[in-house]
Amino acid sequence: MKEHDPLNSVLREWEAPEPSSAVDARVRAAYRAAHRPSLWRRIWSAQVTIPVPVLAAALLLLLAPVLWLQLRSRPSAPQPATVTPAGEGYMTRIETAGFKPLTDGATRVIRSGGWKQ
Amino acid sequence: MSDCDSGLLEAARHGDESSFLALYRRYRTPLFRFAWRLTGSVETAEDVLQECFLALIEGASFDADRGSLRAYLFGIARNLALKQLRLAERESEEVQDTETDVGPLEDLLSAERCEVVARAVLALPPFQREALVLFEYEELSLDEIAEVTRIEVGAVKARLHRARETLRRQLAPLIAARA
Repeated sequence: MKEHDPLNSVLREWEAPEPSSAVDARVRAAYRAAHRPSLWRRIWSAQVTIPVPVLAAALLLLLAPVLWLQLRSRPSAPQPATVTPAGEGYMTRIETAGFKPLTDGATRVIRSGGWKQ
Repeated sequence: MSDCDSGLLEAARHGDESSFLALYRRYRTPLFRFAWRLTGSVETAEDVLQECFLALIEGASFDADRGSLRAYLFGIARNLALKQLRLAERESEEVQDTETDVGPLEDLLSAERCEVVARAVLALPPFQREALVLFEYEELSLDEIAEVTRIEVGAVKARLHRARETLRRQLAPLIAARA
């Protein structure tokens, strides 16, 4: 159909122009708009630039209440250990000051009635 | 090339801009030329080109097993260009009364050869014109044209034959001058 036909060479006279660079930019922009990353991905990959003084001030503001609470909850003086009977006849906490371990290691049970200071 | 196109398209659809640009660079000029030769307007052809690639990226109807990406893209461009042609024809019908009708061959001997050929091709019926442009200028095979235009190969041959016969008559002086 194409060989040696003078019509073909006449048809070749009609040359087409090239598309403009403006359409390239439009197509690229359209592609980018169609393929914007998801909100989650954008948040995940977002970057924020903060000046160092602002960052320091922000950290100070964040840490100040924590430090203040720690200082406030610290006891002013150590309190002595107390002996608190948990139930009738049994001791759950004892005063350990002056405690001496037994040399023989034998266990002895002392009734609460028999304990006197 | 088909496998390569499929890979690039897959990557482009997943947001790989370089793959998209590779596909775009490969097909931008042929698609633009085709749309321009169908519509005769640079502006319309550029719109068709843009719409064509957007449809490719957004739509998921391309199936590599059913045909080449080239034929698929030409098919999209063809539909868009024919749509624009129908709109343009409707508009030209509305203003036809105010215009003087100039025959395409009236100034054949004095006009530039390029313009004469352009007029002759643009005067063809759209279906003959698209078959001729795809075959003669974009060098698609008959099978590919059948795929693009969704008709039988025999029908493509018939359209091409009629288009060539019409052009042979209309461009006879130019053909004679060349011979």
